Amino acid sequence: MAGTVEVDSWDGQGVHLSDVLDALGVLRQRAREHTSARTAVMTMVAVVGTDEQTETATATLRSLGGNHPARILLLRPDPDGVAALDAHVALHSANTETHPINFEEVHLNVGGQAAKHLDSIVEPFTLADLPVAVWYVGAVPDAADPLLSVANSVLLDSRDAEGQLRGLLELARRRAVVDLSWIRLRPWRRLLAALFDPPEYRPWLGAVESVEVKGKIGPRQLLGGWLAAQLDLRPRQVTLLDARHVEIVVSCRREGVEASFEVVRGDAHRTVAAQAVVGGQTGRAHGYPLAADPLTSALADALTRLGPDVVWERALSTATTLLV
Amino acid sequence: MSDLPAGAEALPNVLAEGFETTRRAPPGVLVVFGASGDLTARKLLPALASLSRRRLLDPAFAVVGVARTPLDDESFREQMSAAGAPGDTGWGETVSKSRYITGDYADAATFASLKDALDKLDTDLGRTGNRTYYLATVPSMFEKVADGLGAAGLNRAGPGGGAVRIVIEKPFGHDLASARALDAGLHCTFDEEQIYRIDHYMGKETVQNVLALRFANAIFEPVWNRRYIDHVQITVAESLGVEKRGGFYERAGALRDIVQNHVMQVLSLTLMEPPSSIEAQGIRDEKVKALRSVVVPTPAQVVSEVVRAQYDSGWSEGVSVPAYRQEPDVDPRSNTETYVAAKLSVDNWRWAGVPIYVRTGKRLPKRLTEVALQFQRVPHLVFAVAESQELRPNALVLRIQPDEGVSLRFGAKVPGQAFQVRDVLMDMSYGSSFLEEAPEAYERLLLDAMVGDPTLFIRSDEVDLAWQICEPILHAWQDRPVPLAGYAAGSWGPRQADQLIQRDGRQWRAP
Ligand SMILES: NC(=O)c1ccc[n+]([C@@H]2O[C@H](COP(=O)([O-])OP(=O)(O)OC[C@H]3O[C@@H](n4cnc5c(N)ncnc54)[C@H](OP(=O)(O)O)[C@@H]3O)[C@@H](O)[C@H]2O)c1
Repeated sequence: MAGTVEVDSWDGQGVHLSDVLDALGVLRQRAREHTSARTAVMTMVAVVGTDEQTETATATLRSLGGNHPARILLLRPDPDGVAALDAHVALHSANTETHPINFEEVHLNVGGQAAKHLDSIVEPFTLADLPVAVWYVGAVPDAADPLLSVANSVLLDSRDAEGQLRGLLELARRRAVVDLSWIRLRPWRRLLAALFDPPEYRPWLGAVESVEVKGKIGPRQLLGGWLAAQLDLRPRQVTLLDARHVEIVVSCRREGVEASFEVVRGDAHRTVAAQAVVGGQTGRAHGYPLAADPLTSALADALTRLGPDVVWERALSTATTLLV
Repeated sequence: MSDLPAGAEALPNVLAEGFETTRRAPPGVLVVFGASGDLTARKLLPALASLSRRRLLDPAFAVVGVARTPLDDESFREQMSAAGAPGDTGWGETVSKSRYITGDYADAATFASLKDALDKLDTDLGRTGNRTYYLATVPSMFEKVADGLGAAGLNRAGPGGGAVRIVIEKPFGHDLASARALDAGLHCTFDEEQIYRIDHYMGKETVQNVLALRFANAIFEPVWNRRYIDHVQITVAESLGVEKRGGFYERAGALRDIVQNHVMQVLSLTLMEPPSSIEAQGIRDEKVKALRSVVVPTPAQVVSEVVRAQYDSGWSEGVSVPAYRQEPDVDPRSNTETYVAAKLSVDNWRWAGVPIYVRTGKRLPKRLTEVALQFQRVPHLVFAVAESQELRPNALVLRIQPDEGVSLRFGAKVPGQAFQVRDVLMDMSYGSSFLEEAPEAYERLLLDAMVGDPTLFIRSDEVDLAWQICEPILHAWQDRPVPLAGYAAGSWGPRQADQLIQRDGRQWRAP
């Protein structure tokens, strides 16, 4: 993906929001003199809590800028800190194959009570008529977070929601939620589903005895919930086991014949592989390379589908009934 | 289909819920004629590998290559492998099942071996006999291959059923008569529904976007007609010369190579009426209607309204380049045109009186394809002449390549005391608005052919009409050689082309 360069910037400590908006206006004006017009498809807000999160979010969003121009607003709230607003405003340029794309990046450290009213800070920055996506980096929001009121869609990672899955469900009822974990798990889900594409394998879907999902707590819960919901299994048919890497085994029995359908780590680096074993015979097997940069690609993917996802909601809802 | 339980087809794959209902190629075989050729190596195999990587090929899918170059299965498989992504075991599987048959298309034995290979693959793949024949070979062999397939009974589905289709590369004929002869020849063995004529322009995302732009946005359609549009300009510019294809180009020329196919496709998409549905028949019917209303030029009109030219030496992209006649494999006295400009008119309710200016050429200053709709001037300009001198009428430009998107030129006030207005350009790039990587044209078209969606392929009557429009130009040039103008390589074409449009009080755009 194309790299980006900072074309112009402005910093201010202990400033008013109007100063930041003015600075943004000036930067855009100055940029017009030497660059072509820009297009934008959304306002992208990221809420971060630590330096590390700031770095990850910034790098990820910038790498998207070249292909998915958005105004980027990075907010670091600190409700317990001094009531002050520090800002860094920058104009970035990403060179795509054919032409430069400019996008603005605004970093705001929000101290004091204002940190609890981020909605009022975001509003003046949103681009007219375009959707606002709010990405909660490393945390899931409280359902009462006022910032949610300006978000057309909410990006988060259900990994960060340990023990709060019900809260997440609550949130999903009110806003379109995109779960980055769910997107990252697509290769596994897709491969498993593909094993049942040939019509002759379909009947096994109605003959599942048990499923076993390995992985870290978030992914295994989510996949377990997905399988239980889609295959209509009871919680005791689903076993979730702790492991570093995600693996799924679906065990079936039909007319005395056993079959298993598995998605495991592939032999080659960063690949997943799926195979079916029916009556002791190894059937179809196929593999799939994983994205080199899972966060960027998950986010890129997320930005192309910002609507509600009923399959995910069902998976999440069923996950809350499973024993982790 | 041994152990398929009754009704299994009807069972839904519950685990696939939520994944977009992707169109995947059904199980079957793709037979590539011209397997040792350039197109296969550069476009077809990479496109197939990419389809595999995106999991759009069925696991029960194989390729059979056919050409004269003696190769064994292994070497062909190696070539296929090299086109794939490491770790894509799906592609590995496809490759391992694929075959290569050495033989001449004029030889019945070639088709007998092919038949054996296909029968065997049908047994191995345990599948339905779906076959797609891709003719990536020299045009002189198109009919031979079809005949060979017919004689071997490979033009029809086998006893197990399945779909049999044939994909024909360009060029489809070199004039109206040869196109009709080819069509008649193909129709001896294949039905029209089985024939997929490729124009890779139609596989381009942005060409398809012309339809999306026109028919998904209410603001354009009301002004897309003679009441608001002054004229249309279609430009297909290439910066390259003939490169190594001089021999081929000598026999083709710009009219056959670009105008008859690509320009006519873009033209019909631009001019067509809204189809009743976005399905194949609806769209192709409307494209045909649009082409039918293009006025076929008379010999006199060819003289006055078509310019042909050939590039001289010059400077292109900072490099000194030779004249066309000095290119390899080109006759030093060649009269082949490398540039065509024409003024066409359309006889229908929507476009009557709106001239369509088209131009295409090699060795123009940049590579670019665009359709520009030039709007009429406002009926009365309220600004003083001095203040609006630079103001030109609005233009809506559909950029097809390379920087795909839409731009709109409109007037705006220059900041300051006086009420001065000038042009500003509003630019939208598709590439920058959507992240989704657009599939390569060949990828899209290959998949469409295997799935059996003919929307983006050229129907028999379309080819015929496109030739009917171009034929009189070819004839006029033959009968009474219209002078061949010259233009410097790296320029926007000959003076005569400028005069063609300036006569009407208009200008070519500087794209
Ligand atoms: N190349 C491109 O970029 C491009 C772009 C657009 C359209 N096309 C079209 O695609 C088609 C193929 O073009 P290409 O450039 O790939 O041509 P090419 O490199 O010359 O390949 C021609 C192929 O046809 C085979 N062939 C020719 N005569 C044969 C015969 N009598 N028996 C058996 N095999 C025969 C050749 O096999 P052997 O060499 O082994 O004999 C070779 O594999 C043409 O219709 C062309 O107009 C090509």
